Amino acid sequence: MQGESTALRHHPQENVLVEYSTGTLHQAGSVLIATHLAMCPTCRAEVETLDAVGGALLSKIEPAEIADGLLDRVLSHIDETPETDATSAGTTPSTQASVIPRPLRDFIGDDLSSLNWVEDRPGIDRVDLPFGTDCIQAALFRVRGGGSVPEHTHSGNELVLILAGELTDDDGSYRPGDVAQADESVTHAPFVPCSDSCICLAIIEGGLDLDG
Amino acid sequence: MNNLRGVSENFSNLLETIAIDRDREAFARLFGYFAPRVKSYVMRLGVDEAFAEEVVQETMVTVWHKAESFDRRLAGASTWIFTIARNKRIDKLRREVRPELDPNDPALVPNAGRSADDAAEANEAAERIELAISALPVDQADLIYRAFYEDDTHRDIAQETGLPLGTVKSRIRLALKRLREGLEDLR
Repeated sequence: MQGESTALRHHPQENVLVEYSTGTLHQAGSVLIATHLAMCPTCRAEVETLDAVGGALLSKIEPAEIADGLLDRVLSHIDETPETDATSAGTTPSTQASVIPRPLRDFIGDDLSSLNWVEDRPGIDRVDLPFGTDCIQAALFRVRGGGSVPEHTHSGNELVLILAGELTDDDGSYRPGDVAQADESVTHAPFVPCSDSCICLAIIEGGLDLDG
Repeated sequence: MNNLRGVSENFSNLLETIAIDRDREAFARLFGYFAPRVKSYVMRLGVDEAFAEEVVQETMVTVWHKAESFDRRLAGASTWIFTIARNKRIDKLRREVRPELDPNDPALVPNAGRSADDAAEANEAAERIELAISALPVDQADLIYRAFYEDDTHRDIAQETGLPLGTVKSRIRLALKRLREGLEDLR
């Protein structure tokens, strides 16, 4: 059923997957990567291997001394009702056709059109997401069909995950599930090559200079 | 190798015993091995003992409650416990919830052509990775260790070691390539 044509072509760089697996990556980046992983069996297998590296190191580490009463303390807690479990309490998609994987769906639901879009600039709408910080912009962008993002540079890493439609820059064409990655060395002006809008999740460290 | 496999299978067995029989003795044995290691791991990432023991406590309580979701075909016992400890540490430290994959998410794109029939798969993979880590050249092993166990981003590592960022990235990439090659016979 899943032919060659559906395989993703643009993946995050390995160092981002390493930082995701080790837990160094910030929350915003982790939401994007976890969402990509749900859409990409290849990177999922990669992260499973990285997690196994973390597990293997656990068996090699010098054990620390444990306080005498800790086991008893733990045993006294295990009969209590477990805290609400994030894995079971999450959202389920409202329709069969939902395409937003859970790591992102828990924050935005699965109906992209019903979100509170505001105009960022003509032809581009934006929804700010709650996991952004002072230093990291986290937002959904909707670029109208045939529209483009003004040429811009980057002051830090930028991760963009396509959720719907298509986006094109010098490095190629990005479709749903694909990740476009850019850093200080990249100047680009991505555009939407078809008539459908492109919706993407963007995690931008240090912000963009769209007018620079 | 056989010894190693014995140890790893043993932990998987303990987890399954905990899941099925709610066996406190099995849990105490698992605790005896992993609690000191989880504490050591968390402390290396730069927190005090009390914080580390709280993470150990939360990790082990979660191990008890979630033991039935452990699947030895998908992950080795060490790996499973590592991911729980990693997430507990992040949640506690940053007061945020780490976004996790949900294997039952209907929106998850399934693995094509990968069957989890071979029950030994994840455990064997875990052992291979341990062997492959032991066989890494010192400079590569050191970077892998720093990346996983010292909470350093690649940029931090570059700054601390004085190596160019590109060198750090390529050494880690090389180390991971070797680790993967250690796994390839299995796939």
